[in-house]
Amino acid sequence: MLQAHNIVKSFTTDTTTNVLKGVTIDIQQGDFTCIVGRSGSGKSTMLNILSTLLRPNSGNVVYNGLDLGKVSVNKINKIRQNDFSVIFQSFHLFPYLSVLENVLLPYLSEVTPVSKKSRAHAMQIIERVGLKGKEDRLPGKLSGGEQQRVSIARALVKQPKILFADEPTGSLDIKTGKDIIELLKELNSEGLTIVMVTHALEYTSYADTVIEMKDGQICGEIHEIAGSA
Amino acid sequence: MNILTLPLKNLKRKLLRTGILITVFTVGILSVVMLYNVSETIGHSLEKKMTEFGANILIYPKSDSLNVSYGGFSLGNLSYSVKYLSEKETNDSIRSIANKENISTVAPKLVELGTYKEQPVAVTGIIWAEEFRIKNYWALDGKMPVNPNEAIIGSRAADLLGITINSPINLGTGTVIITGILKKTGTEDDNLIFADLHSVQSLAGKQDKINFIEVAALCSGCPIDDIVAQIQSKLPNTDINALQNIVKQRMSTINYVKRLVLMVSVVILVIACFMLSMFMLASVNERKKEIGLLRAIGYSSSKIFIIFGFEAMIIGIFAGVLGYLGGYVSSVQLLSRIDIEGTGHILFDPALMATATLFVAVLSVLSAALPALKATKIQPTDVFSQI
Ligand SMILES: Nc1ncnc2c1ncn2[C@@H]1O[C@H](COP(=O)(O)OP(=O)(O)OP(=O)(O)O)[C@@H](O)[C@H]1O
Ligand SMILES: [Mg+2]
Repeated sequence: MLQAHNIVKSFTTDTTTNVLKGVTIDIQQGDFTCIVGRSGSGKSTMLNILSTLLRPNSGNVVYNGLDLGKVSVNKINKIRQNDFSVIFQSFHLFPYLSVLENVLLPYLSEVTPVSKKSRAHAMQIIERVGLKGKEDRLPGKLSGGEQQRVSIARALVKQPKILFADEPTGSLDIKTGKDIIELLKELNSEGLTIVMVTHALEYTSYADTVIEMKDGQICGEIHEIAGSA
Repeated sequence: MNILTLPLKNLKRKLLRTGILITVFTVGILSVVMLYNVSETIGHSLEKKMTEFGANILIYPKSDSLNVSYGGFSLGNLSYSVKYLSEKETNDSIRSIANKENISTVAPKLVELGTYKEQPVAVTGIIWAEEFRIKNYWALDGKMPVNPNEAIIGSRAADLLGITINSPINLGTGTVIITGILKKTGTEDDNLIFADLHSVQSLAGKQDKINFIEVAALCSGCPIDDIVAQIQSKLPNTDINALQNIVKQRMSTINYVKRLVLMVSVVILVIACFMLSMFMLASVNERKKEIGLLRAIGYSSSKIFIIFGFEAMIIGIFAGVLGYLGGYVSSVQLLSRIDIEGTGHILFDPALMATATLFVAVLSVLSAALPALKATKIQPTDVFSQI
């Protein structure tokens, strides 16, 4: 479904750091892929390249046969709207929008008003992530776990093909983090492809594929351990 | 809910900021509108005063001897062999020049000697309606002439000659009857008798003849030199004396004031734009993460521009409407206070308000353009990697 081939990425500030040194990853449809590794090993950078948020220096990312390095900005925006979704360690909710409005954000890019149908759909998703009855609250009035659920609902509202998650449990306590991972696992079992970066090795048990990175390279890859959770 | 929800919510959320921006812009527009209205009105009123002061162009027959001028018109002068102009030809010529729209009044005159109790008096034939337009300071004791053989007399002439209402003046083949005495004007009018031009002509046997003609040209930036040249080419056998310097001086004062007003207005607007720009820039910096998130969920850079541009535009629209209304009200107030004529000239013009509002809206979007462009450059990874 999504292949990254020989990705090289370096950042130049005062000095040049080679963050990714030729990484090749193949994401299968329906898979729950976990990327693990030590801090600074390049996990987030790799995830951002996969989700089109970052462009590699060399190497290519191919999505359903489409070389993402060669398509227009417009097409990239379309993919971000309809195919890919991202969630982060910090939830990036708009503090002055209600839960429902936050979830509807992907629909708010048009002049035409949000349809009743989209609104109903958003309500369903909110219910799906377990926030029924809290759709009119502002994010500041929610717990961290609930806020992450809102950001998941926002990521799901346009029914994406792949969900990219960068340490979605990073700022949650263990119990809440586990709940979130279990929610993701459920969504995965309903057919959503998930690529997740995490520090916490215990979550790798939920994954179909675990990719371990070290110093900008892949140092280990384990497949098909799902179901052992 | 649509793309305008975000900018609207932000304006509402930052009510104080929104209020300050709208206020600053409103004050800017208000002063522009007010200064403009006031300077226009004062300009109009000065212009009107200029014509009230009298004619600014004097046309008389070419003379090789002594210049016969209105001020110097004494009885003695009339003993020279006086030349005449044709009333009809002169009038038609003046009324048909290229700048004829600027000609407000054409007042021909014929001066004839008459007698009252054997004393010589000068009777000036005038066209009442035209004369009143350039001499609306005239005030009368008695009544206005209604019949062709009725006349009025200047106060000094009346005193010196002992003429009163109903005194008959012998003129040519007949008489004219005084019906009114002019109140003191301080001009040579005090020394004269005025009667209907066509009566004077027929009594004196000088049909269609006039001595000179006074013209009032309305000159809101009109080329007085051109008007003189146009009349001169139509009437080559005349001398034309334009009170150009006075006209020019007044026009240049008005133009100077208008230029000053324009400059002040531009400065105010530039400051308002600058402030909006700074506020928007702060807003963009403050909302970097939001912008990054929007880009990550597929908002194009032009959508980001629209969000910030629209925010600025709403401020502009509010300021445009409030500023125009405020400017209108305050200029009417101000002008009524300093008691200048022509306050009624300030019209409330919805089309002008719409234009002003559109102008401010465009101006505010332009002011927000740089910060908004900056916003479009923000990439998700720029703002997410520093967490
Ligand atoms: N925008 C950037 N500019 C410069 N250097 C960067 C940038 N983004 C990442 N890096 C560097 O790249 C390296 C890898 O960063 P990355 O965020 O991918 O690591 P990570 O594996 O996600 O680490 P962590 O587990 O701490 O999140 C780090 O050394 C980091 O300093
Ligand atoms: Mg990271």
